[in-house]
Amino acid sequence: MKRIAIYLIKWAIIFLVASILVFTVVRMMPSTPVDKWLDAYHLPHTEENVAFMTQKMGLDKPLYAQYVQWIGNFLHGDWGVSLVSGEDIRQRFLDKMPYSFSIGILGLLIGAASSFFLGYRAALHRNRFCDRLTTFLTIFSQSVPMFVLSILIINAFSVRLRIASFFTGDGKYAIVASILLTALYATGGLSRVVRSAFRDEMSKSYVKFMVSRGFSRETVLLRHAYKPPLASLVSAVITRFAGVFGGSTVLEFAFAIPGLSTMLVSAMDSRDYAILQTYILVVIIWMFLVHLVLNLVLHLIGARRDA
Amino acid sequence: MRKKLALVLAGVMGASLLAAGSSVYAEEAAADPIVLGCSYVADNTNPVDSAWDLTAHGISEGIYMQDAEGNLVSRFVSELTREDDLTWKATVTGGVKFSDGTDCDAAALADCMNYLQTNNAMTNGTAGVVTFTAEEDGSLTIVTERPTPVMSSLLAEWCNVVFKQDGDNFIYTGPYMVEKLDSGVSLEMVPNPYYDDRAGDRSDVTLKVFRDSAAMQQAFEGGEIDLMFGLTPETADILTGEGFNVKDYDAGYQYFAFTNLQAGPMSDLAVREAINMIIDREELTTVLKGGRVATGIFAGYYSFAGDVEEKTDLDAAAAKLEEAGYTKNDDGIFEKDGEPLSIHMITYSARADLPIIMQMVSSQLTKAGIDSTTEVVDDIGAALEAGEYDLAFYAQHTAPSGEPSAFLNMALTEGGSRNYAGYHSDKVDELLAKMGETEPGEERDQISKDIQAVVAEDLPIIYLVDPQWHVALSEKVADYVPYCGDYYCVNAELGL
Amino acid sequence: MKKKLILWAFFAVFVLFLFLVPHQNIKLTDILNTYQGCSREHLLGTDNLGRDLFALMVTGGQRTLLVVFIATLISFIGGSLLGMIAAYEGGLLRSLIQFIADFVTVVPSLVMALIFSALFGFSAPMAGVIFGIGNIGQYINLAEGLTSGMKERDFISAETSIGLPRASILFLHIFPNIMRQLFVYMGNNASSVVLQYAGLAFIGLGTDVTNPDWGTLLYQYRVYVLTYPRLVICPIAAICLLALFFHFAFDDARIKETELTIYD
Repeated sequence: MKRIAIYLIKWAIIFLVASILVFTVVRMMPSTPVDKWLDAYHLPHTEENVAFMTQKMGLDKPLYAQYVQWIGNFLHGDWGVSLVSGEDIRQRFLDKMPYSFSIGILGLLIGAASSFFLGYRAALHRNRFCDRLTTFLTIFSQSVPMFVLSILIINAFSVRLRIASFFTGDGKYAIVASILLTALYATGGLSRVVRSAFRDEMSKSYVKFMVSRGFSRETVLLRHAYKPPLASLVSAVITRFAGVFGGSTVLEFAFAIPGLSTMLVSAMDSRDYAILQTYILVVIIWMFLVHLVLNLVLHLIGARRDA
Repeated sequence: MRKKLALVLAGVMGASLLAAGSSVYAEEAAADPIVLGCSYVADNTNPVDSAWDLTAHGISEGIYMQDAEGNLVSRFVSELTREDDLTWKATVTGGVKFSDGTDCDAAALADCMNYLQTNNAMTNGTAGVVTFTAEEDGSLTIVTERPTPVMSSLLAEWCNVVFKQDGDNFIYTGPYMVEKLDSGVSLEMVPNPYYDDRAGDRSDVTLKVFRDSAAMQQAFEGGEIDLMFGLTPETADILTGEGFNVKDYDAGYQYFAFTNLQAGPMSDLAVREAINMIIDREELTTVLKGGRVATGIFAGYYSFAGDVEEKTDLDAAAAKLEEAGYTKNDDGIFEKDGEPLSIHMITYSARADLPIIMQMVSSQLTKAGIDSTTEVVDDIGAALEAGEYDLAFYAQHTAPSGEPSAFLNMALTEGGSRNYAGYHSDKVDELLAKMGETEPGEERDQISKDIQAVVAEDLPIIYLVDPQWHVALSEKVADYVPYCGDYYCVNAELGL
Repeated sequence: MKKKLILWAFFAVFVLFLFLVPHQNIKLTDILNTYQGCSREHLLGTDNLGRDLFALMVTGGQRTLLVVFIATLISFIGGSLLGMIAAYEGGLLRSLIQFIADFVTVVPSLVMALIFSALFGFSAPMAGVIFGIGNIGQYINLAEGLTSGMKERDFISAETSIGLPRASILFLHIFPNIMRQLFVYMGNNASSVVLQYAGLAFIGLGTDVTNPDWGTLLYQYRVYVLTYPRLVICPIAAICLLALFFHFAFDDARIKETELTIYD
């Protein structure tokens, strides 16, 4: 009980400190939302215009009042409205989240499944096809950018074969392609993690013992030595889950998917404080959840990591 | 066993993913709107926030709008007469309807204009608070706080759009009306049945936002979009090469460069003149695949466009620099007191032509013996305010309300929002004051030309290109011609 | 060992080549000779403005190496140091370091890049710093995990009990033991910075081709992947070489004789 209480208090403090930091940092940026708004419409930055917009955006109140109002409302579930468009921010998040999250999470899960398989084969048959493949994928994902591959994919399926439309309709093809690309790019690194964890196990004496007792090599690895590699994989995957926010930026741009990153970039363009600061708070909450899940899962598969 | 299971699982997953995709595809094939690829859509349908965007999408209209030749025309008002310094009388044409079928008469016009005057301070910029009164004879009396000679362009300012409020909805008069708006993603529109008698011929229009021009190009090539705005010269080139229909149209926007008069080498008039003569604008238009050498700060189709002739003359430029005390060093670079002449150039990436221009100018300066550093900045406004540049490449629609004085005041008077370098000239001030009292016509146009000629001598701004932009069109919309840059992307002729 | 030496020698020659080879001024454009193929004057041909691709690749290479070097240095040194301290000291310090690690991992590098560049301006070294900090989390976690494992070993607790100074335990005894795995991770991830950097171009950062790096070139030329693939293949090949070098110089793909298991 006490440990849980400490855990929660720790996160509450993190949340509070981060919220103050974020609130300050976004306001330290040289251009204000008012400047950006006036620029967007080629309007002169006269004192009246600036004063009018500052008041309209509610930025004329004292800073602490703005902070208290924002954080108070946030905790009550009211995330405020965009300074620029006046839209409800929470609704906007809920609209955009499915895109980024399905790409990030499904992509990673598919990637993780294939990396476990690939990593296992790579460890089992050193320097054979699967081993080479993992190396190849690692190099590939570092040197061939997604945004070039995406052009080739769209060109092949949409322009040449005409069997998929990525931009019109409700964009399922774009999502599918993004998920598969995410999976492909995740597989390289993750399969190396699995491979090296399996190799660690292979050098242990219990494995040697079992193999010399006549158990098949595959059985020993998959039935008895799978836990540590699985734990490493889960750790690695969950760390990457943390990056689901913003991780799909390039794909969102390349396939015109209206996800969170697209929203964030336009908020940044217009310096929409309300969206920016809320975004980072949500990221912290997400981080908390990921942590929780990581600890739970690791606990379940019997490997520990205190947090 | 496990291996097989994994394979089967993978197969099922892949198949279901694709099946999901293909069922969607089949559904979508039936609907047949015109799809436009653009870089943004309006955030909402509120006239106070989104007037510019809504007009660009063909949803809202100003009382006055520009036609393709840059003239101001009105569907709402047939005549505008000045009764005294502050009072104007507008004769309402009548017959214009809102998209719900109700009449847009003088009372409706007065209502929405007065609403904007109180709720959007931007509308008070030109002539203070303007009051609109509907008279019993169906005309409109307009009273301004400060005198203005250009009522029609005041009514053409982007923030003054005609609308009617119906609960939380806003109803407009443009050729299209909103069906479904997904902010930042797409906008589905249907024809406004009450716009004119050709409304039945118009088809539905969808605007789809792309943030990557390469993706938009693929979407166009794949036939998913009918109209692609914002083509870069390279993309225009590729698409033309592949046999697609690519058109150039006058942008209205102008490409020019601010010079830093406050500090650095450009504060020396001789250096500005030399650079002005080194820049080869013909080469710029070749690279941009369109446009003309600028003759001033306004698009060539306006009657008040400048008539300055900029010529490339490398020898004269070198002579100018030598006169100013610069000599060529062993590397072939001009230097003065041991300091090589180096120009720091900045621009921003939102307008893709600008970095290209910057690279070309950098090359031209290098060949002429002037060193340069270049930077594409994230926040051009802040960089200009901070004076961290010698030469800043910029693009702006300089006459969105069909009138020159707004931009000239902004860029050339002290305290003006585009006068980053603190330019001051008594002559320009005098001319601008005179312009403020002159009604539209030849005299006013001449003043505009005179001011642009002074600027070409003092060079707080270097004129570059009167650009044309490129648009790619599918067969469905092959005859469509947009105009006025990105202001009227969708006009009433689309799809007819 | 010999193979690695050769690899490093190649790398050294490559770097020297990038910094010393004479090339055309990258600013020069030539609109009469755009999209030229490979020739004597233009070894790798020219691009859409007639610039010499070879010159762009060479200057771009210098910049790319700089970004990768700064980023890797920050995340490797900072990450292993913080990770070791966290595991060794435990307590509040550990929680704090772990929070930093999680925070930089979870906040997208995109957001960091946007905010950093708004505050301090954007440049190649700045990108290096941003990615260095952004990727530090993985190194912290890795070093932390490895050090925790080491701490339980007898010889470390013995050293602690006889009162050796912490610094010397950390650097002389723990670091050499966990170094290898950190290097493996670095070898497999160092060059990913190049593409991360290229991704920033989508949000308008680092798009200046007069100050190129390989990632920017890729971004700029992506529209030509179907029409003039040479423009895209050159930077990809260069990044690929870099990634291969890091991989083989640091990864233990070749397993040592002593580590062969019953499976080999």
